[in-house]
Amino acid sequence: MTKETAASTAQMRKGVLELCILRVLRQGEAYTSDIVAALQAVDLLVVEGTVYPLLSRMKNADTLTYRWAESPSGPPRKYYSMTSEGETVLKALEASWDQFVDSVNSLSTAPKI
Amino acid sequence: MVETRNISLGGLLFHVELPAYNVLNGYLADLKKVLRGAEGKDDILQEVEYRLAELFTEFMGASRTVVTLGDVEKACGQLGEPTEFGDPDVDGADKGARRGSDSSSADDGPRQRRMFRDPDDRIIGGVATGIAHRIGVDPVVVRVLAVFLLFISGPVLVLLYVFLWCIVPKARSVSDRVAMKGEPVTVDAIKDSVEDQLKKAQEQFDNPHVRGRVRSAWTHFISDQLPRFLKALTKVLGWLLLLIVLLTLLAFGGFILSALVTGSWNFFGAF
Repeated sequence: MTKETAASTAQMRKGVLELCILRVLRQGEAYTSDIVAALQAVDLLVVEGTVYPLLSRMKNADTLTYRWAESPSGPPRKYYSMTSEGETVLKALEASWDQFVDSVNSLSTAPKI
Repeated sequence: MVETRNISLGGLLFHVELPAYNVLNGYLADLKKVLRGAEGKDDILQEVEYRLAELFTEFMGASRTVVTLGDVEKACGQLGEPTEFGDPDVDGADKGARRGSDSSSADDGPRQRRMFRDPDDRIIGGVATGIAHRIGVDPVVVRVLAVFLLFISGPVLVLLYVFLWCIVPKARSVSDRVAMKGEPVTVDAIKDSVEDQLKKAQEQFDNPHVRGRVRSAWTHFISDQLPRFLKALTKVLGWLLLLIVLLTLLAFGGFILSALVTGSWNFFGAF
């Protein structure tokens, strides 16, 4: 992959990150490392740095909420969960995503003008 | 035995090897710089702190008790470069502004040098060295020029020096030093800088008399005497500068005093 396409791909990942985090949290609460691991497992996240500002922004927008919990080995963990507001946001983002995918795919199958 | 520092991350205590500690500090300092003024800055830094604590615990397992340079590099690599934490919305504007003011740097990306006073190579306040690093010349050049200009412009230069001394920050952290000398601020560059400092310390430690018994007089001069000579020259120039600064201040004070007494503000008439 060239430098330019890599940058574009990174931008795409950034764009869908909020949707992906919400989808991870739809399955139940998760602490930061769980979220990061889930996203990395499906290649949606390269470096963790991009997640933290987003988590903070989503928390401030009341899409997410969190609670602290002790950990058996490491430091205390911050467990995030989705608010009802988050559900609404998730539905809206999923609708945009579906439309986006449809639009992009339609270009490759559309007959030449 | 490597020297260690104790740090607290996410409420846990870690022993960190000194080089690793320096890299970590540089990384966090850069991160704070990137996040300055950003929304949710404290949240993000807290997340990073707890995440680092968790990664270190994970890397060390049950067998180790000290965090090494490898651990820190791996953790920082996983978190990503400080610039990755920036808000994507303000990214574009920020880059544009940086490019616009950048004239001296090379081909790829913003490598803007920042002006700092250099505490490692200073005579008075490190201003001359700071300027030298900023424009990319040897400090001696700036100092010679400064002494020369002193004879021409006198008090103006002194005031300018004092002014710069006040407003230009001192290079405190490793990342400051890297930014001052114009390498891109990345974990690697900070590492290089740390290694550089370690090497310097090592060289001072090694006894110079043991080595080089077979060297000719000429190589002896080049490698030993010349740097020493240049260093001495720099020192002398610096002291000269200081002397002139003091004299000028004295003369300036005298002028103001005499002006107050005689009521004449003609500078050259005062002498």
